[in-house]
Amino acid sequence: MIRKTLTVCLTIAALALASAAPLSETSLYNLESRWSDQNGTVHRWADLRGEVRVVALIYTHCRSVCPAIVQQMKETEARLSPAERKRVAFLLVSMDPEADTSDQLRHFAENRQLGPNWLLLRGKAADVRELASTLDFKYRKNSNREFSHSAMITLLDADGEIVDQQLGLGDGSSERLRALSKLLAAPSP
Amino acid sequence: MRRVGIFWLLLCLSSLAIESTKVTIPAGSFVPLMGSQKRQALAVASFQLSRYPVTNGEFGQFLRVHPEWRRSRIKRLFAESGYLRDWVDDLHGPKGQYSSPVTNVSWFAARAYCRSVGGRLPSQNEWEWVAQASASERNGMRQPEFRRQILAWYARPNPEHWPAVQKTYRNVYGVHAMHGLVWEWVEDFNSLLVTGESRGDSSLDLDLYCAGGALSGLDPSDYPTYMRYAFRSSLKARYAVPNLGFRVAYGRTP
Repeated sequence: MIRKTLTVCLTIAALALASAAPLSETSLYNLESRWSDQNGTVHRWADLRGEVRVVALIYTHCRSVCPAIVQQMKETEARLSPAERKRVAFLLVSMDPEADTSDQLRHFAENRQLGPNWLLLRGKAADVRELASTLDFKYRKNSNREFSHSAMITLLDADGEIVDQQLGLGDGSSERLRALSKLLAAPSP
Repeated sequence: MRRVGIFWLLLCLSSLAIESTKVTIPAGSFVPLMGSQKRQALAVASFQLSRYPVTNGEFGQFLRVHPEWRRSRIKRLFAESGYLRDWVDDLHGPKGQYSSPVTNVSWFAARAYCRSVGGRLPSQNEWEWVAQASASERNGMRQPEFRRQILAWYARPNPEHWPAVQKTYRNVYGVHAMHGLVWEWVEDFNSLLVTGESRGDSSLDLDLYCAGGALSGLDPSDYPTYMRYAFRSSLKARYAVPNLGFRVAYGRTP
């Protein structure tokens, strides 16, 4: 009985070790901040490991660039095969955590018909600045509560490495799809 | 009893002689060169700022307690390879420069230091607000002599060794080296957009063009301010630059 328990424990430990291979030095998932999603669940970056992820910083009351970014991400999703779609996650991080409460993020996700593979996060202002700095994303709040910001979509591999980054609103969806297919075709670690 | 009294008297006198390393900056408002629409005045709330930029000695103390920020241990996500390149080893800064400003530090490392002392990096507006002060006036930019002095500082090449932070220009608040020593990180250094980023063009955005346009009609001694904004927007958070250091702010994040 004891031996059996021990074996089970060792197996679990081995499995845990396998998935906890140290992150590379340049992985975004080295960031240590905590974020809450549209349902109020708390996430750390390291928890997001394991899935290919399409990431953008937005704010939900933006009327210009952000809706276009979300639309481009949705188009990317739509062009994936059903099998591929299961292996890709989408992440929107708010640059306006004051206005974008968890409720607001949930409403936004519902209104835009974003599926369960979409994560919408809000965090502390300093953590948003840190994430933005890591991505070389520029933004500032203007006096009228609107933001001036880069238009950027980033593709992360399962270990949080930046694989592809589209800057500007030009349609980079073909390149992103190519990069995505390449990632998904690679044997999983 | 009398002896104890003298002891306390001496203690009080000595604490008067040692200046606090933090300076309280009263609230105010100013028109920043950039980042304000239609050149509106921006309010800056009261906060505290370190009197001097952080020194090699202080940064070494920090590294003793926080090994993950040492040159040999820091992750590439948080600093490029030139991080602390002028240090003798992991814990010792350049020889004979204990009291000189630490440079070759990334934004991430500067922030970690600030957090370790219960502070944060100043915001761009906070920094610029304090930088406007001359030795005699909060708004020193009205004084042609002050503007000339700043311009002269910016025109001077970097010295081979940075002087000790105490031996630098002191403004009306008692804050040293806002000009004339090294550039400094601010929390929101990456708040100005760059046009055509996707084309790898480094020209600055409309905001900056507008300000640049405004500048052309102004005294060219405003040029240093323009330089600071342009320099900041050329930075990435993991850069380690030989003439870029930082100082600590305390108080609520604006």
